[in-house]
Parts: sequence; structure tokens; C-alpha cells
Amino acid sequence: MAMTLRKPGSGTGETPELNLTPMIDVVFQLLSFFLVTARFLPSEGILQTQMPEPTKATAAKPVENPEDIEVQEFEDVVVHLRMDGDTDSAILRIKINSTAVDSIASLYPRLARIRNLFKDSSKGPPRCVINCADDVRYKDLVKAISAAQQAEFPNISFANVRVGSE
Amino acid sequence: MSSIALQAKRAEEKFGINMTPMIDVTFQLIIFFMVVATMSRLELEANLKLPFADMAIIEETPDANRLVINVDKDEKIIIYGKTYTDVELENHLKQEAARAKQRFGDDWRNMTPVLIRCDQDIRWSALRIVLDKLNAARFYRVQMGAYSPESERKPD
Repeated sequence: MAMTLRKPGSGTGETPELNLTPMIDVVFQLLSFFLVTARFLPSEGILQTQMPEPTKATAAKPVENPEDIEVQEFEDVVVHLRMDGDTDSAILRIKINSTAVDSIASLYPRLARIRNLFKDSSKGPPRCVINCADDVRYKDLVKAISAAQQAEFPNISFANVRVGSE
Repeated sequence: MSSIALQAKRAEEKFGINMTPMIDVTFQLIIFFMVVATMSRLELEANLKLPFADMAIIEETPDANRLVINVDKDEKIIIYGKTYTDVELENHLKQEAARAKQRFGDDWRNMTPVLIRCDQDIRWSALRIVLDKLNAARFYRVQMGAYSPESERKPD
């Protein structure tokens, strides 16, 4: 792109002008560098959740075995997630309250069916509480939250988080 | 200088390209890329692989009062590029809560959402530490960061 803007001629009355060619070269190099090194990530979104309220009876201490939690205590729909097996080949086990769910893909239809039961309830829809074992991965938790949101639970929260005080 | 040579020089000057607008535009582009790169690095830790979630909502205008907490693949807690220990995080969140309370009054909990961006492979035990601290500082609205499948399909 070597392009000169220098006016030809060297006689008297000629005003000296700046040669812009190197600057344009550098500028284009910089522009190309930024364009090439820019990382184009997929769009980031959010999943809305709420923290447990102090008035709600959620487990105050870490729960080793999620099944030990009394469902009636919550009056909520509780999704239990835990890993079964060795670290490398662990399988995600899911339960809604005390009923096992085959896979994370079947979580949404099951939750939607439960949510439908509360459609005409005067108390309104229950909370959906996610109860994870310590070794459950964030990607599985996010899928469970996504399923609960798709099933239109208005309030999604977490069990075994220490409840704050006023 | 002969009159023929003078005419040739005038003709050349007449058809010269004005480079000024091009340089202006190019500099604008460079400044844009530099500023965007710096801003996104400040708030959102780039070295994270978020999971995909079908229901992840893309916010056109994120809440200006939002706090962002990143948890990277080594389960380190990072806020604005600085790594926090559990105790430091608790103190930081309590300070933020006090600031929000001063600014918004009793409604501060609704006005101050917290976005947690975690690497997809971190364990619940690491995330629970952050949630415990948020709860201790009385934050209520928690947003979980995830990629939206609208923009790209999941690789696995």
C-alpha cells in the first residue's frame, strides 16, 4: 500500500508536506492485529435465581447425603443432584423430591408436570430448590436451573447454603 | 518551469486522494477495539469456559449496579482481575452491601443483583463458598452466567 502524498517538484513556493505512508502502514498493521486476535465468544446470558430467605427452613449445614433432607420441611420442589461412581467416570443421579429421574433431559418434562399441579393453587407455585452434593459440576447445576426455569418455577433457590442473618 | 510541465503538475494535484477521513476512521476502529478489550477484561474474566443453558437470557443492558464474581477452573474467586480468599470475599461483599444500602435504602437487595460466572467444570463445593458469603452479606438476587445456545450450539 505504499502510497505517497508528497507533492512532486522542489521549486520555490512549494510547501513541505508530511509523508503519511508509514503511518498508514502501521495503523493497518495494528488494525489487522486486533481483528485477528479478537476472540469471538458466544453471547453470554444469565439464569435468575434467589438466595434462601432466613425464614425458610433450609439446611444450615452441608448435607452429605441429599436424600436425608426432609422434603416436607421445605414445602418446595427439591431437585437432588449427586455424582455416583469414581471421579473420572461419575454419573449424575437426579431425584425430584424422592423420585428418581433418568437423565437431565427428562428433568424439564417432570418439573413441568409438577408445576402444572400447582396451577390453580391458592398458595401459588412452590419454590424449586436445587440440592447439590459437593462434587456436582457447575454445568449440571446450570442445566437443572435451566429446566426449572423452563418449567416456569418463579423462584429457584439452593439448599445447603448457609442462611444469612438480618 | 515550462507551461506544459505546470499544467501536468496541476492535473496531478487535482486528482490526489484525500487520506484524512480514512485515517480518522481507522484510528476510531483501533481505539474502539482497544477500549472494548480493556473493559471486558476488567469485569469479565476471559479465561473461563461457561456452560451452555437453553434458558440463558441475554441481557441487552445489564444492570449498572450489578456485581460480578468469577470462579475460574482452578476454583479461584476473581473480581475485577483480583483474586480473593474466602475471608477477603466476605469482607468485600459486606462492604458492597453497606454501600448499596446507603445508596438504595431498604430496597438495596432488589437493586443489586450479583452475577456469578463459573467455569463449567468447577464443583458445587466451590460455588457454595461464594453463595454462603453472598448470603452472609444478605444479597438476594443471584444470576448464574451461562452461554446462550441462540448464538452457538454446544460442542459436545
